[in-house]
Order: sequence, then structure tokens, then C-alpha cells
Amino acid sequence: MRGLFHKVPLYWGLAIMLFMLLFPFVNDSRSMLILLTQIFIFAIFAMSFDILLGYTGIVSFGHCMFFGIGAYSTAIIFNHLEATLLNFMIGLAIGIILSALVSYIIGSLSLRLKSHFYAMLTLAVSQLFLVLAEKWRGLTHGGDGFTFSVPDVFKDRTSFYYITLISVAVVFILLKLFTESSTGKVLKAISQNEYRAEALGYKSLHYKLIASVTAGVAASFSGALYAVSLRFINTNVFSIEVTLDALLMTMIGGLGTLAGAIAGAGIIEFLRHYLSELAMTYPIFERWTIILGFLYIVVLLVFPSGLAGFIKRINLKNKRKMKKKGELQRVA
Amino acid sequence: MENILETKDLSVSFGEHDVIKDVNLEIERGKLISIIGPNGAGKTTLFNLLSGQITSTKGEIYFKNENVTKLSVPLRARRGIGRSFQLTNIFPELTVLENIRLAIQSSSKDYYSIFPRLSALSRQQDEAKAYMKKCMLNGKEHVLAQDLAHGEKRKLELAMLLALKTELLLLDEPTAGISIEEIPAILEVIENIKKDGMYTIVLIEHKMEMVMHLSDILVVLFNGELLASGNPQEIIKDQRVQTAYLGGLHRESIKTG
Repeated sequence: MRGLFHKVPLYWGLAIMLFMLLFPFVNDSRSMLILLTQIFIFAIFAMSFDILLGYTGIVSFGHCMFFGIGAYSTAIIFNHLEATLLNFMIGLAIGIILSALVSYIIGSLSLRLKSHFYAMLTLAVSQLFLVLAEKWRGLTHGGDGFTFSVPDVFKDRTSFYYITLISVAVVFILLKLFTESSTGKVLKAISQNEYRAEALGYKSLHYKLIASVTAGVAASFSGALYAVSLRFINTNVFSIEVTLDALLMTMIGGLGTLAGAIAGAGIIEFLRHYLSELAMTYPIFERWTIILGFLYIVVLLVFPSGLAGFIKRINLKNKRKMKKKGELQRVA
Repeated sequence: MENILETKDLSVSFGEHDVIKDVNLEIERGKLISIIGPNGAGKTTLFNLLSGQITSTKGEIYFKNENVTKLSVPLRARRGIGRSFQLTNIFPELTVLENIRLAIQSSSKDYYSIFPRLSALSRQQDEAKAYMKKCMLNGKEHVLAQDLAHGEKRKLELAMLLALKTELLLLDEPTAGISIEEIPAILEVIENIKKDGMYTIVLIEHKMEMVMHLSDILVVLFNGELLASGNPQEIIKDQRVQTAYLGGLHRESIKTG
């Protein structure tokens, strides 16, 4: 497996995973577990966005729609049927199939054109879903949303924590395998030089569609978990802020690295949590979104390739230093 | 010898401007053909037509007796028509090895597998190294393509074409923008490829010494028309070619002259 993992700091991943597995034994504060659960859910969402933007170079302004489709499918099923695990699976499956269909249709309509058509079309369709959720009151209860009950395993904060943690790990491994596969390599190639990839015999439309559907399915999964975590849903899941969150998370973590997307989700969710807590003492922090905006600008100016790119740069610098040292020693 | 590529009345016009006019080209398998002609004669456009980057307004292209006129770029590449570009065209942020592996992956019909297979990976690795050796890129496996010297990028392009298992190599000015010291190396690589005998090479080139040295057949393109083709020594003596290539005269006077 060396070929597959030589670039990935595998030990770091395992260490973090172990720490997260043991965490509930060390600290069982409810709010902390809820916060971490949110981070895991958004980590999946951010990774799915990264497959599009970071790996394939497709810009989407409506990624929230897949998140919302997943969330609403699960919520509506639980609202109408009993709260059992089987029904969760059914809801999840409906969400995933719908997302795959929608992403396939949007993709095949617009991906053969220049990338901003995809961005515009996803934006339009996601707004369409927002309107649909507002107006189809019989099913969605409009903007007020509705609450629903979930299976007991999901109710217990600790067990749900583990479920989401394992979900992140599984999705990460699956997507990692996907990006390291031959299809994943072609995606990377297309993002760098689509013209060349075609000249090599790769039909870029097919690959972009694969990326688009994969991202849609993963986003739908995170949406389903999100709905379950809140036990409540309203039209906010279709709002443009959800897409922007994903964008911010992947940008901060570093485009084109799945681990970066997870780190980005962690940073944003922690900031959001603590900044809004600070607002109780310092009213200025009620406008914490402004601070996120500043953070965004700083990231773009100082670390244009995100956290992952920053770490890579430091590693490279150290390596060069070591090399120089070695050469000097040899000369001496 | 059979013809690997034939064009029949191939024409393309941009607006009212005819860029390629009724070109009938027959390319024999295993030969090296050079296309020469003044700037704007339509050489690169002809390449674009052959590889599918643009579609013809009239005429047909036959590759191995199959009509490929309507096929897209990737499909023609899969049939065995590969090309290099006037401006180097590689994947800048992938390593040399990864660049070549992408070509191998395409030629081994490994298009859509979504799980990595280790056996395939190591086989591709070995294959890639063989192509690197052939194109004199040894020891550069893990260098990012963007960090290569210009001449090495050219070699990488050639290696990718070989790895694609192309039968027909369309090389658009492989020595353009390369320093004089690096030219012999490129020349050697092209000669090596030619010696293999498996490939048919079509070359666009301005450096006449190189053209005369390498070519089996010389094709002269002028104002989008096929002016002459045949043995290089004879072609170069042709009065019409001389006037056309040295420029100065109008097309009409050449036709009558």
C-alpha cells in the first residue's frame, strides 16, 4: 500500500482518529460532543465540495442543494414513517438517488460548456429547490420547518458522535481511494489542462460528470446526518450560506486535499461556536460573520493554497535546509 | 505499403477565409513526413483537422481505412492519432512519471476504474520508466513537469505520445523555442522513434537542415493548398517551391509560373 499512502501522513491520521475515539471518555461535556458532531458532518460536506472544486476545478454555487436534498429526504421519511434505522436507510437512499440524478442532469446540461455555466446553473437550481421547499407546505411545512423523532441510537449524543466519526473516516477513505484511482488522476489532469487530457483520449465530460455525481452523493449523505443531528429541518439547508460554508472550509483547509477540508470544517465550526459565545460578553461579536469574512480575505492573501499548502511549503523549506546542511557538511 | 492516413479534398474555412483548400494527402505507414511552408500556410490548422481540434467544412479523413472525420479529439486519440503542440502542453503540477502514467492509463483502456489497483500501478510504473529511457528523461521521475527545462518538456511530450501507443505522431514544431544546445537531443529522440519502425511521424518544422536530414517525404503547403510532395531532394529543387518558400511572389504568379 506504500504507493497509495506515501504522500498521506498516515500516522497523523491514525493518531487523530484514536484521539477522537477516546475523546468521549475524557471529556463528556454535551456541548463539546455536539460541536464535534457538527464538525464531522460538515467535514463530509466540505470534502464533497473539494472533489468538485479542488480536484476537478469545477465551480459550484449551489452545492447546498445536495445537502438539502439529503436532509429533507431523511426528515420527511421520519416525519411520515416510524423512527427506525431501516427508515433512515430508506431516507438516505432516496436522498442519494435524487442527488445523483439531479447532479447528473445538471452536469450533462452544463459541464460540456465553460465552467461558469455549471456555477450559474447550480445556483439557479438550488434556488429552485429553496422555493420548492418554501411552497410545498404539505410536505415541508414551508419556512417554519418541522421537528421529527429519530431512532434511539441517534438520540444518544455519544453514540451519534461515534456514528458521525466513523462516517467521516469511511467517507474520507472512500474519497481518498477515489482520488488516487485512475479516474481520480484524470480528474486532477483535467483541472490542470483539459485540452491536453482530451488529446490523451479522455472524454472530459464523462469525468466531470463522475466528479459531479460523486460530490452530490457525498453531500447528500452529510445532509441526512445533519437533519438527524438537529431533529429539525427548515429551508435554511437550501440557503446560499451553506454553499459558502463549504467554500470557506475547503479554501481555508487547502483546495485539493481531503484532510484540508476536514481541518477547514473544524476551524470554521470552532470559530463560529466560540465567537458566538463571546458575543454574550462583547456585543461586537454578534457580528461574527464579519470576522469570518476577514478571515477569508486573510487566507486568500496570505495562504492562497490554504492550511495544507502552508504546511507543504514549510516542509519543503525544511527539506531544502537539511539538504543544504548535508552539502555543507560534505564540503567540510 | 499501405497508407495509414489519407485525406480527401480536406478543406476548412474560417468565415470567408479558406485556410485549407482541397488537400489530398496520402501518408504511408512507417515513414517520416515533414510539412513545410511559410507562416500562415495552414500547417498547424492541418494538424488541428487531423487530430480533431477543429472540424472540416468539406472533405474526409481516413485513418487506417476508417473514416474519422466526425470523431472527437479523445476518440481519435484512442484510435492512435497523437499530437504534440507548438506550445508545450503537459500537466504542469504533476510529476514526469504521473504525466506519462496518464498516457499509459489511457492506452491500456483503463478509463473509468474508480478504485486504485496496485498491480496495475506497478506495471504502469515499469512501462513509464521504459518510455522515459527512450526519450532520455532518466532520473526525472519525481520532478514536477513545470520545473523541467524547456527541451525536457518537449521530450516529456514525446514520451507521452509513445506511451499513448499512438501509431501516427503529429509533431508540431518540436524544436520551437528550444535553445541550440538542446536541439541535438530532441533530434536524437525523434530518430530513435523513427528507427523503431512502429511509428509514422508527421513533422512540422522550420529548420531545413533538420527536415532534410530526417524526412522520407517532404510536403509543401502554401496558402492552404498542397503545392508539392515527394522526395525531399527533388522537392527542394522545384522552382515553384523555391519561389513559394522564399516568399515575395503572389499565388497567381506561382500557379502560372
